[in-house]
Amino acid sequence: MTKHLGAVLATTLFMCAVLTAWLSVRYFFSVRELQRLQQQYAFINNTRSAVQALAQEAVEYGKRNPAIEPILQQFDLKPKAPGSGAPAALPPRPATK
Amino acid sequence: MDSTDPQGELIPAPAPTPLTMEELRDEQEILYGQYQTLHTLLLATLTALIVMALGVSLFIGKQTRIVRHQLEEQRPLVGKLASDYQKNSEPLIGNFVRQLQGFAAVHRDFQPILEKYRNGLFHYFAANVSHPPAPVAPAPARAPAAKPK
Repeated sequence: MTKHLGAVLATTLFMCAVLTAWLSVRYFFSVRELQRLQQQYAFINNTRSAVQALAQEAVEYGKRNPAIEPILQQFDLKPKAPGSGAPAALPPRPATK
Repeated sequence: MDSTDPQGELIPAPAPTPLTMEELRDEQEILYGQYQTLHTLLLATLTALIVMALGVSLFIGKQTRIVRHQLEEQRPLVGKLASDYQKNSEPLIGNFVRQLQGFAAVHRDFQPILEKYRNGLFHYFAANVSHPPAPVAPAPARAPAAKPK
């Protein structure tokens, strides 16, 4: 019995090592996917906040230079003046339904 | 006496005296004891390694479970957010930035405001570099666009 104990323990250790390696690989790929998702989320958030800040500054700029107003009105950043339609050359804004 | 004396090398070394049975048994017991100690040490090392490997496996398994749980929670949310963004926001942002770039090409005082966001929105700026004239380029920058007509 004691003679085989070494072999049994060595086999058990080998199986434990294989199990650890398999779990590590699973962990690695899971973490990588999670990081990718978080990067995607952060990218979207950063882009949105940057665009919002840019729009805010454009609105502020519009108070000094009304020439930007057609752009602001096109993107609903400023209410359209009654009777003054947007220029025909500007593409219509995406459907809001 | 002289170490260079050739005769000295010819003197045969004394033959090892044969061990008695008792001495042999003693040697055998010492060797067996050493073997037993080594064997016990090996078994202890293997046991310790197994315990350690099981601990590491348990830890990694728990971490994996946590990460996979987070993944299952976040995957649909981020997927929906990304598809919404690609479908609705991205064309709008691209269009907005393009128009502002066009505006900034005419109204140079708007250029510094737009430049502040170049890093944050570089995807949209990079795609539009060729459309409006270069912001700091001299006046002939528009000339190539008018040439074909």
